[in-house]
Amino acid sequence: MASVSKASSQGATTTATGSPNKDHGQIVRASPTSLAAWSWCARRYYLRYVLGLPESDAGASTDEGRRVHAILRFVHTQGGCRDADVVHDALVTHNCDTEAMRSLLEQHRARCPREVDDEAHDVSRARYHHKPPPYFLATAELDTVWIHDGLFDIRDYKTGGSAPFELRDDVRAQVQAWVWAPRAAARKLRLRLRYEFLSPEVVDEPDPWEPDPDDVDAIEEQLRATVEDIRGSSFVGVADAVTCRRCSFRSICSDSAAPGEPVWPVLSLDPGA
Amino acid sequence: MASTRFRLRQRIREDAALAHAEFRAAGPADFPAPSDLTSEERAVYRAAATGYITLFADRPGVTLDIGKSVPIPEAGIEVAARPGVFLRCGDGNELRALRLDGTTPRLTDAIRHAVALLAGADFTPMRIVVVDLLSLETVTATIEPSEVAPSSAWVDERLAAWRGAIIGNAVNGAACLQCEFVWDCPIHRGAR
Repeated sequence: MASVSKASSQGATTTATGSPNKDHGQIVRASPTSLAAWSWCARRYYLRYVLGLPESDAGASTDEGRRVHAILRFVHTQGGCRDADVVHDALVTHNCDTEAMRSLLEQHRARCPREVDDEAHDVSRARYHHKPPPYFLATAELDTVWIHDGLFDIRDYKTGGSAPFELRDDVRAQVQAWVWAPRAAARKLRLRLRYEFLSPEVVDEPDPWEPDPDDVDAIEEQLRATVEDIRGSSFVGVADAVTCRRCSFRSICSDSAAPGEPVWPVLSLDPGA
Repeated sequence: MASTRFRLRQRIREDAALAHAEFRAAGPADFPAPSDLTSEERAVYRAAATGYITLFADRPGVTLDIGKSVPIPEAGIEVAARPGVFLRCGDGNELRALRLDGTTPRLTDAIRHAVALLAGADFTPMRIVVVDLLSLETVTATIEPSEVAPSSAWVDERLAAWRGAIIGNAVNGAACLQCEFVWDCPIHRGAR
């Protein structure tokens, strides 16, 4: 079987008292992004997914990514990305008939299967882990599922960022594979996961990943161990200037090594001030 | 668990309501720094309090005694809602629905109907202000007395949808992440 590297458990220290564990329900809820946040920094995970705080620092705009996703959904539900009229309609409808957008679509078209038996777009599924404890429920949303050539081919579109070296090492991909594996198995199809990096600047797109049942079992154990780390954590931040500078909680995080001013307006609440 | 954002919002709302126990605007002294929160939570609370004071500095008001639920006898149910702080201001009644998302707030049908039902004929017209205390953006609308009856019809429609969902099949999807009944849900029972 192929190996699955162990996810980071940084900051996962256990405390006998004062642990924020009470903030978790009996069933830990996980998603690709929440576990990616955990891998990034335990404090970031705590602020975003345990406390549910709003981000204090503006991150990169996701408008472009949302638009690309909307256009790809539109073209695939209206006739397909190889139909020039449909593509034109999509670009006009979304008011973005630009060279850059056409280039992104071209990148996708080169990866899009020509003949499929079935398809679904923007779909989410959840999977529950019960034993051995701790219990957890993970959800994973996909941009597209293609059924073709004996494959249950699940895709995620990426419009920015750097590509992971191997999908099997990416916690987001691991969660997606684990959640969707039973769907592929039920249809007696091979599961394949692919991240489509649509920006022409990304030239090192990772190869598609076909986790086998042993891989999926290993992922489940790894996720279970990660959830165990989370439940025992005191959520200490990484306090690394490079990491913190890119964090959307850097201005309010008690462990921030790159403090700044939040985007929120703040005046003194001291009545004597 | 209720997220901290929800609990902070409740605290801001309660502090604001207390400030408006008499006809006036809220000030810094009405939002004492909480001592039982993490430093990050306190930062959010301070920002939200700042937002409230800034946005409503020139709109004094006094809290209105409006119930938190309204019976719908014909349906055999009671509709409960706490959409925000109900006030009598200088130019009429106002509901302040407070958000802590740092985004553009939305005025949903659910809020409109909840306000219409709770306020009823006695307290409408009611101006709704949905405000995000972090982004300082607001959305406003006014509920007229004529909207109370349509809100009852909306409750009937929602009640039918709710009852339909009870007898329908469970749906596996993103909503499972917030569901409280995963433990015994038919679609997840296979894992046990």
